Amino acid sequence: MARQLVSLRPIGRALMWMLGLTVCMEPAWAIRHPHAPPPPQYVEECGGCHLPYAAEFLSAEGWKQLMGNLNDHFKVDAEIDSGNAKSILAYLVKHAGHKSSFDPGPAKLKITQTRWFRGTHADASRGHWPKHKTRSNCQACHPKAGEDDFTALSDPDF
Amino acid sequence: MRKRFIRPLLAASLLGVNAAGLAMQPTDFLEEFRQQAAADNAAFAGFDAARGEQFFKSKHGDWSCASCHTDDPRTEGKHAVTEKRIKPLVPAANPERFTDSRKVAKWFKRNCKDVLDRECRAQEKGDVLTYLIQLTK
Repeated sequence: MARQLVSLRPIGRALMWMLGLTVCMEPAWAIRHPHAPPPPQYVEECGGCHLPYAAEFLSAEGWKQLMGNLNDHFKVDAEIDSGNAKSILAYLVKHAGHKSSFDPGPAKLKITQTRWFRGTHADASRGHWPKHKTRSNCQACHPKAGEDDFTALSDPDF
Repeated sequence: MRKRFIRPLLAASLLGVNAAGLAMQPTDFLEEFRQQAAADNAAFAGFDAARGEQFFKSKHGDWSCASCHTDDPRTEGKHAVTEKRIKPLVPAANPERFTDSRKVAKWFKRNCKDVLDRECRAQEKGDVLTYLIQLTK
């Protein structure tokens, strides 16, 4: 009887619309984890000095430029042997971020200057980069960054 | 008959282990640096822990070795720029140190270029390693 009075169809339709809109509205720069596990050379060579950043963090073009200039890597000579460099670059390019995560124009080589990073850290940028002299240390604020978990924050006020 | 096969096999496997950069001891590197230092300088008179410590803790430009490895390399260090944690450098505190020739060559080259803007001499590497080896836990 109730079925005749209230049709469920509009509700179902509304739900489908909401689902569709949610999917569409997911920010283009959202980083999807977990990503493909990095090759051991990447963890050893790059992870020796800093967090082995996810390949999605830069564009394919950005990785190509960065890996092509390791002898002047943010003022440090980080050159590695050419065999390792080749396999690391192949991994980074294959899993690089989607172009919608980056501004058009010349590729950014600093993760913190990319569009997706600025978008996701807008709140933090407003005076919340206090104690840490570098932004390259993800773990300063994301204690589980090493496990690919960027949801946990060390400072609950963020 | 059997020995004729086993000995070369043993020798070959030992060589293989060394080539792969495994099973080395810190003192093996000291010997390597000693030979190189003697070849570099006819007046070479051995390594010195005090000189190594001085070299390790002095700034050669903006940085010293201690900038990242701290003034007490038995403890954990921190990369001066990225803040990444660095395991202790002293073999007594971290037995993995100075056991892999590929890693030793790579890090001396990379870090000397960072700190001194050039590669280190065998004399300098030997002095520093002598200093690190004599530090006990």
